[in-house]
Amino acid sequence: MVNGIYNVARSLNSKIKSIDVIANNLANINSTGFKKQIPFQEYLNQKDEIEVRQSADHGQGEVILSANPLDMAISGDGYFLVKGESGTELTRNGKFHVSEEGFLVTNTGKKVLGRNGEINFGTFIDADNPTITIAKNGEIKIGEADVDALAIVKIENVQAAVRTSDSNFAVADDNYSYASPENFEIQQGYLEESNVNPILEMETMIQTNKDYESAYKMMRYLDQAMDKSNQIGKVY
Amino acid sequence: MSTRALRTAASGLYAQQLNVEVISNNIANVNTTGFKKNKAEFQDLMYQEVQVNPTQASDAYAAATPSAKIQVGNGVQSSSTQKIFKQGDIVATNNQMDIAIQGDGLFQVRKSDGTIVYTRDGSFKINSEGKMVTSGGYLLDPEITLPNNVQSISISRDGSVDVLENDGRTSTLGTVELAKFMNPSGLLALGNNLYGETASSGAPMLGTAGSKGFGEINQGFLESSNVDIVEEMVAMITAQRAYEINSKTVKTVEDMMTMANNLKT
Repeated sequence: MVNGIYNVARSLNSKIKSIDVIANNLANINSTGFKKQIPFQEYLNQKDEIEVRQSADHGQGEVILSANPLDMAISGDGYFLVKGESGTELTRNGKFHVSEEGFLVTNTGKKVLGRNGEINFGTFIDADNPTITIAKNGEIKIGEADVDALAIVKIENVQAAVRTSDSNFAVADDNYSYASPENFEIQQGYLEESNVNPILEMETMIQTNKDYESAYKMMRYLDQAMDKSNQIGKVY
Repeated sequence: MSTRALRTAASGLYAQQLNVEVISNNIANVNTTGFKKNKAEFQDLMYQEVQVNPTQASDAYAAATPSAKIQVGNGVQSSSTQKIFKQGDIVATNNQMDIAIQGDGLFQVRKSDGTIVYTRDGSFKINSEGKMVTSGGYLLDPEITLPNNVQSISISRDGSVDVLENDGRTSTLGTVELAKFMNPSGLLALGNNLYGETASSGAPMLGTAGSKGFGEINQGFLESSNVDIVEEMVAMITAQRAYEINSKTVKTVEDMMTMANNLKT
């Protein structure tokens, strides 16, 4: 019976963590390039041990017009490659600008990587023809000059991608490879919205809340049952 | 009990409030000449690793396994509000000092402290010294000074300013030069329809209207605000509903906390 109470406590605890995840999804309902997180699951592996798995929904978010030449959205599979403080990061947040030194950087100043490394516009800026064009396959041109092509990569093992802030995922260097160009299209002047669906999140939230309530009731019954067993043999 | 979900929802509420503030500023400027609408951008906050409980009280298995950790986010933050430099409608005013840019480019204006700022508002006036100034009184750059016996002014599509004087002579006074930025949404909004150069906008590239990707100048027209009321209303509904859904999170967590407090009869 005491065992039962521990199991119930565990359920109560994990439901709270699920609510944390759902709350974060709902808070990021308007975050550019955000990929929703799925509350963690437990499962038995082949060795009959319980393992915990947490996954992200890497599905496409809605692509909306922003009319800014340095905003880019990926439709299809793939991630932009950026250089984070502690290694390579991937993102679907294509809200880029040019830094003071001429590098193409993300919203938070991380350098965006191209096929030839960091992308520097400095030497290519042409006052006669300053139009930046980004082709569907990621090739960047200023006027007529070729700058570089964006490195669009896909994650090999999605489970090993760790979330960092700014809608980025940190990955090990051997965990990504170039995505094949037929699987994605870069859309210049567009941004990808968050892929959080409020209805699905509400559904999960209600379910989690009700599961919590069941566990709560269970604990109260167990408490009452233990109370009764403590009264057995009591002398009146 | 952890209050992370509550704080996460609070960050969501705060973000949506900011979103509504930006939208209401757009709506308030629906009739402002040359106004460019704003859009608030959001991104997620940092993530934390959280341990998932072991199967049983005595089971140390989960504590020893790295995979028994999950990542939980901490909510949302606003990353920037960006200007959207979409063309506004060009409206005829029949005033010869009103000029509108159809296409890319901004007018250059010299502030009283000498710094150059930029604007799309082409409702120019003549000051007491005969110079072209914005409605706020700042000088157009390069300066254009009108003689005092002017009958009419004509500003051509490429920006050159010609005047017809009382004695029937015509003369060219100069050219309205336009500036273009690689990343116009990186410009700093200074109020009064003025924009300042920043590191993220890049340095201005100067040029003549109608050439090399610059827009054309239309005399007798003004560019109205590029705010679309329908679009703003849709954005406002979305923001309000997003606010509401975050408040549901607060309610749900509160329910759960109440239950936790009632566990012991």
